[in-house]
Amino acid sequence: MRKEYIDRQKREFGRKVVISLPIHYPKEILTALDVLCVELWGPPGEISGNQAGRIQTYVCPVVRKALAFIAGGHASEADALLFPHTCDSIQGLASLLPDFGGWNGPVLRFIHPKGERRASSEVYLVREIEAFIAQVETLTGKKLEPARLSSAVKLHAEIDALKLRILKLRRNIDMRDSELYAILRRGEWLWPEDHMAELKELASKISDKPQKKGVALMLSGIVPEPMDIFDVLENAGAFIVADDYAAIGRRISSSSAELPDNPLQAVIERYFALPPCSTRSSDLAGRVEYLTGLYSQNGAAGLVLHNVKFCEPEMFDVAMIKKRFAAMNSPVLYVETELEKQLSGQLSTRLEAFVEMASKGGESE
Amino acid sequence: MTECVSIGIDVGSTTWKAVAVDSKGNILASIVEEAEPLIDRQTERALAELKAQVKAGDGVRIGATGYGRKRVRADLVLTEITCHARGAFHLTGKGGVLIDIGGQDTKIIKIGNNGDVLDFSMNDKCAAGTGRFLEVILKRLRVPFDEVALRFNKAVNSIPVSNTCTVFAESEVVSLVAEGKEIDEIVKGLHQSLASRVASLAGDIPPDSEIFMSGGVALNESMVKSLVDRTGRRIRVLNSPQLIGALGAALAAR
Ligand code: SF4
Repeated sequence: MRKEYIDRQKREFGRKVVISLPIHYPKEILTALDVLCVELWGPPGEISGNQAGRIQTYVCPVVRKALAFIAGGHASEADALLFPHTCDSIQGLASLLPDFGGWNGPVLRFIHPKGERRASSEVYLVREIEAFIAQVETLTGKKLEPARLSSAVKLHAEIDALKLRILKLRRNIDMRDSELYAILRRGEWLWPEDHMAELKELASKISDKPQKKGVALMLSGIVPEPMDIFDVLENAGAFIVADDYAAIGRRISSSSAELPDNPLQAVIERYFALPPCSTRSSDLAGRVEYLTGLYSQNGAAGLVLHNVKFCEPEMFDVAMIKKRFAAMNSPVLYVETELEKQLSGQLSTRLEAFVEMASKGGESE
Repeated sequence: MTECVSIGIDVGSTTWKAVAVDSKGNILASIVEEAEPLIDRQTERALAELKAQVKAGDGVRIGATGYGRKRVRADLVLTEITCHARGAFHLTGKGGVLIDIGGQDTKIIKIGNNGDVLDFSMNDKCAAGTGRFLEVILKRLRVPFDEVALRFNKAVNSIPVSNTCTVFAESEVVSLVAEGKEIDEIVKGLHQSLASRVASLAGDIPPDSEIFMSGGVALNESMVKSLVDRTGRRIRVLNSPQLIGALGAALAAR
């Protein structure tokens, strides 16, 4: 289905296709230059092919799977690969890739500034985005027109506003979390206008009364894989009320309302209005504040820290987050997954026990 | 006979357990058997036996727990963590830290003074630090369970088993035997290695928390002794430790 869709995008609309590693990159530029971006998060399941064995097993599965996928020749339908500077593992993959084969095409880079907004990081980001524009212009052979960038910025700002509304009012949508996330995650590969149409349909299902009952949880992590985590939690009597996944909530810029007229400046504003993220080296104290705020505003009764195994940026933040939530007497569960197809029985038991604990396990004696 | 109000079933990876309780939570009868692959069939048969023993009527409520809990037709299904805490609190009447070493996982459960689960940790990766680890290696050493304590106590020294992975540990033990090392010393080392893994999962247990132990492995006195030595703390083994999960399920289903 995804392959057919991508082929049609190329055939019918003459779009270029870029396969991107996670997580943050200025998608507005790609949209404005008619480039479909398909993100590589997995694919879930066993790592196949012998290529993945060429990097250490203690590198995160996102990178090992990406290596197996690209070096195995499966990225051939793309016109370019994009490596944002998310973490050392992705950078390492970008530098090692030429040695592994499987890809001879162009490689785009986007090295975002780390840390908080400062005058120097603004100057740096402008230059980096200009450099990124130049790379995409070379790829497409097109010149970026300010009017097209303005429309793309507007479209992505609308998408973000809609996503924010959906996440905020998700209690009022009568839909399983697994279905809701499946729709939200289709933005990882759909053309933004198609994604927008699906989001609008989803938003039309928001009713004026809460539809969900049970233990309200907040989830935080890199990517919700395996997706059956939602079914395990829901079947145990929980639902997700707040999201801090890097693949979802942390990519929703909150500056949609008043953006500068200059589209390049608007891209900059949108970038700096992203929620804190370990992969952008956001200030940890600020991130913890943000998380406790998100947790309490949404009435969550427990936090599941769902990490990708060996994800260093995220691991650095975990201890402090746990400490802060423990001080608030809020239950926290830390789990690690490896983008497997299904959760193990033990992991499901831990999640279910956590729901029981957060709901006080029924009446106590 | 006092009336049975509920039955708790704990479908574990190695054993199938069930207890029938009265309205006060007293155990009226119980069954412990080796787990069979066909959970539904075993449950149907053994449950009928238990019901017959206690003359349970149709209104008796069923609670299920354990890794096979979802295969049981029950009124209430809860995880082992909640059920062990519930069972332990019923027996002790106080909060504390419960160590449950099961066949395929080990749990450390912090129980509050009202019986609630305050926190828990559980290994979810492999058999290291579980009853299965002990079982596999003892089988490889051809040491039956009833000889373990004798051999453990006889050993003057101990030979630690350093591999955490059960499969690697098995080959490590084979090499030790081939080198002519004393079986008794390997048995002692094996228990100490497992105790140290369980202790590290437990982390720092506050000095004012009592430590309890449940699960079938608690019947292995060498394991309890190793844990006491490793933690430097008193550990109270609960009565019929292998039944605590089933008891908790029965109490919750009442
Ligand atoms: S999971 Fe973590 S380590 Fe892996 S690519 Fe993503 S950010 Fe980097």
